[in-house]
Amino acid sequence: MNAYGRRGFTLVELLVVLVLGTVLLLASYGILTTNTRVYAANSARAQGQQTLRGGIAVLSGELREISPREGDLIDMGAHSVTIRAQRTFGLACAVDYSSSPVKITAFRVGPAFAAGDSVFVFHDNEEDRARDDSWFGGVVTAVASNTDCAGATSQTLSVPFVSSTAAAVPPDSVRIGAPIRGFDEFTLGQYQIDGESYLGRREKGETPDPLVGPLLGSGGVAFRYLDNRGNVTTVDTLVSQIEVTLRYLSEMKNFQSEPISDSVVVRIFPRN
Amino acid sequence: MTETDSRRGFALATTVFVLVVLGVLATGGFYLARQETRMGVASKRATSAFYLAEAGTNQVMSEWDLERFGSLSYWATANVSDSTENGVWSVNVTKMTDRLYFLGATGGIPQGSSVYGGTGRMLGVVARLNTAEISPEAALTTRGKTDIRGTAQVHGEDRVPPGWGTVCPDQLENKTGILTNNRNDVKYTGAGNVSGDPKVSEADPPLDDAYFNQFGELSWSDLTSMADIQIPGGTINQTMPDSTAAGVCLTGQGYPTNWGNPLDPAAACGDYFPLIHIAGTGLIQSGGVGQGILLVDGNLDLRGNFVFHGIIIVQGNFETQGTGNRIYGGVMASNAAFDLQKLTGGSVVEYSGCASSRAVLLNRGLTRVRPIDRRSWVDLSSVVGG
Repeated sequence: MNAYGRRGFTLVELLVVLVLGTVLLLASYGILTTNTRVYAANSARAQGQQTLRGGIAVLSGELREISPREGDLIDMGAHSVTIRAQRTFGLACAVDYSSSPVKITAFRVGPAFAAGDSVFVFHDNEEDRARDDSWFGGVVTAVASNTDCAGATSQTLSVPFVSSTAAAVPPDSVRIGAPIRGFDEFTLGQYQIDGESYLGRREKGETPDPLVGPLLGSGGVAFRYLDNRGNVTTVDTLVSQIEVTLRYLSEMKNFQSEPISDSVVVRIFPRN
Repeated sequence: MTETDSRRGFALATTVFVLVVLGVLATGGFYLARQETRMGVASKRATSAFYLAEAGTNQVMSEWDLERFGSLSYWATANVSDSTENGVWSVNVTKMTDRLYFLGATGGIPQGSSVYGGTGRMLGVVARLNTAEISPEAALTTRGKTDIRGTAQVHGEDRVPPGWGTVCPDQLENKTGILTNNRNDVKYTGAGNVSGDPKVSEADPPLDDAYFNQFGELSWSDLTSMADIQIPGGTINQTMPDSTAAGVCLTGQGYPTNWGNPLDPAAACGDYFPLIHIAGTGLIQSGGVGQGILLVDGNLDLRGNFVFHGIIIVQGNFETQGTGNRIYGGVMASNAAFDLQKLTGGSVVEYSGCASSRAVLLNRGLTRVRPIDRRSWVDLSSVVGG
């Protein structure tokens, strides 16, 4: 075979190939960029929904357990709420009124009680009367771990009781079986952390800890407090449901070049 | 090199490249969707488990098994569980005192597939038995002149009825023998004996009609209308426990002379504590046994060998004759007409906090279980994990 026998592309062939190739590449690029944007938008939307879901789970867990009638709603803000939230739980298996302060040995259900913990203790008073039942607060001054509750993990707590009213704490009113609840006081609300907006938790005098986010910069967290008829109330002891709104705003934009956003509204009914 | 080999193009490479990129994107999209689905399903399952646990506590409280849970020893636990098309719930009922119970509930969604593992949530409720406030303050609480004659005895010392050692708490709280408005109204003749802490005491404030007619939120008419057994009055003979050969206690109005079995708490009718209403004057003779709460519109006369554990409330006067009458619990006789009451023969009325308490606690009509007022509910998943 000689050199003249070799055949090449004609100019027309090359031009056709170039045009077709360009069209194909442009089409592929279009598909590629569209898919990339769809993927990114869906990722942002999924992340937003996950953020909202996580936020509602946290708030539901904390707010379900409060007792508005017992004063657990300490501050009712539009974008934050300060509550007494449960941290541990026990059941009294023995009560020693001969010591001062009273010593309560409790079968421990949750994390260990510690000296300095704030607690509420159920006072049964007359056993056959429900109307005289009450709760008194106190701060644990000393703790001793043991197995005195029938061999189970238990602790003996020294608790000087504090009456929330002028009424004196009646003697001999804590009985076996009395529940004991350890609690913390903190605020759940919207905080700016590292330039972004988060649902966070802040203990008194501490810096807030982010829980979920980032959320919409303004109005990302909102609370409304409703009574048992569903009307907005400002009286903490009348609150029977708390409406929570969480809003999420992504830096990503959708096909209309609008920021991807989502929101969720949930009404949480405190059980206590 | 052949002519064919010498041809070069980029269409194939371009196609492969584009397909690879599209494949990666599609795979990423599927992965993202799958992850989102899994998170959504996990969240739904956790929520379902939570509500299953809550449904369990509600169901156990609405269908409270008085006999089963009441017979538990302190800190002992009984389990109740059920399954639904959505999952299962299980509630451990722990008896802390005669009135306080802790319900620890678990709601569970079984493993759906290798992708969706099992999910569980735990919560607890502290519940108490709310009962009618019927609690005798003495072995005999009455008004007007009362004669203790013959060898009749009234004792305020707290006693556990014979054979009830396994169902009564150790704590005993002595009461007064006779609580009345004027201690001088109580007379003793012969070997009649009254004891207690103190033997006789005067009520402060004085006993009035309301004391014998209003029991917390329940009035006398409320109580009598709730009675398990209605008897028109007159002579009542031989009240005895009645059960099938299979050991099922025959209860209610269809068996008006079955007033439970006070002699053996483990027997078929040992946990049957009926509310019995005699709508007139009652005369109980020829022996018999019973337990529960006996309400009498008129007078009550016990004529011998009648054993009763629980509470007797009489709007008229209360009298005994013959031998063998033995009451453990408390008698409250209004004696509204201030007649002379005579306890004669060998009758014995002994205060028993346990018998009084069980008579109320083990009566379905008088006892309801409710979460304690405020702070009864606890999310155990948040304090113990899960």
